[in-house]
Parts: sequence; structure tokens; C-alpha cells
Amino acid sequence: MPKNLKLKAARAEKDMTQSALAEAAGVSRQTINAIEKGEYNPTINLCRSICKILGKTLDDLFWEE
Amino acid sequence: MKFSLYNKKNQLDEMQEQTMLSIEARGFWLLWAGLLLAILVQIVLRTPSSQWVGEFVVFMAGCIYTMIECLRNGLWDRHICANTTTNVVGALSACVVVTVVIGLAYGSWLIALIPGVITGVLCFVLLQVCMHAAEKRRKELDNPKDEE
Repeated sequence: MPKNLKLKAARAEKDMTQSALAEAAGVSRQTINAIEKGEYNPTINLCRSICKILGKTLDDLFWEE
Repeated sequence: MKFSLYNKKNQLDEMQEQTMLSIEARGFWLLWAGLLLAILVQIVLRTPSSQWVGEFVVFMAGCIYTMIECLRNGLWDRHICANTTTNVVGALSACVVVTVVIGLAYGSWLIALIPGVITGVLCFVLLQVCMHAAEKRRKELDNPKDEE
């Protein structure tokens, strides 16, 4: 799985740390880190939760061309 | 701070949960193989059955539970195809293992062949029955009556 740089950029745009995003999404920091590094494929529920927190759509963060 | 020994709510997130499940699965197969090996070694050494009956009961309980749950959910195996050929291979493997273990324990390969063949036949019948039951259950789950 490739790295999710869009997620990293969106998080940086909101000036959020991995820990802050993890806390808001109700998961651990290692999970957010693994998603950004492309090591973990999150469920649709977690994807939606992250999108809501960062104010993005699923396409913005998780769609690959 | 309130002391809590057990929390009903799952404290793991989804990735940790998946990691925990794979650790538990590996642990289960490690225990399964270890128990089987311990039982077979004790049979080869002709240890009185009263000394390994406990292991055997635990081993069989685990096997029966796993088999029933797999059948109930219409599951077979991740990698092995459900067909008669693979069942023949499985039954032949069981036949060889039992023949070798009994042969080593009692020193007579001809006598060991009898329980070996019986095990192979029983194993084949059981595998065929389970395979058909799993296929039937999968079809039921794929076509629920209350849908559409």
C-alpha cells in the first residue's frame, strides 16, 4: 500500500498532530501513523470519521488515481 | 482515579483489534500443534493413556468447537479447496501419521496398518460430510429467505 500523503497534508493543514487526530477519531496514534504510512487499511467507518474531523471527503483523502 | 479490573467496553481500536486477533490465532495454532505433538509423542512412548487423557480432551474440545463454528458459518479453509481430491490427501495423511505412530509404538507395521486404514477411512468420511455441510450452509447464508 502506498503512503497516504493526502491525509498527512490535510492533517497539517488543520494544524493537528497525529495524537490530536487519533484522540478525535477515538483510535490510537499508532493507527493514524500506520494509515499515513500505508501499513494499515482502515474500515469505512474510520475513514468517514477522519474525513469529518478534517473537513474533507472520502475522495479527497482515500481515493487513488 | 477509579480502579477498574475489567472494562466491558473494548479498549482496543480497530487496528489493535486486528493485531490482537492475529496474535490469538497464531497462539491457538501453536497450542494446537503443541498439544497434538505432545499426544503423539506420548503414544509413541507408550505412556499410559490416563496420563495424556487430559491433553486429549482439551485438544478434541478445541477441534470440535472450531469445526462446529466453521460449519455454522459456512466456512472451510483459507487456502485448501473444498473437493474430494484434497479430502483424499487429508485422509491419506492421517492414515500415514497414525500408521507411523502406532508402528513406532508397537514395532509391528502390519498391525499398525489396520488402525491407520480405519483412521484414513473415517477421516475421509468425516471430511466429506463436513465439506457438504459447509457448502450447504454457505448456500443458505448466500441466499437468505427474508431478502428481496
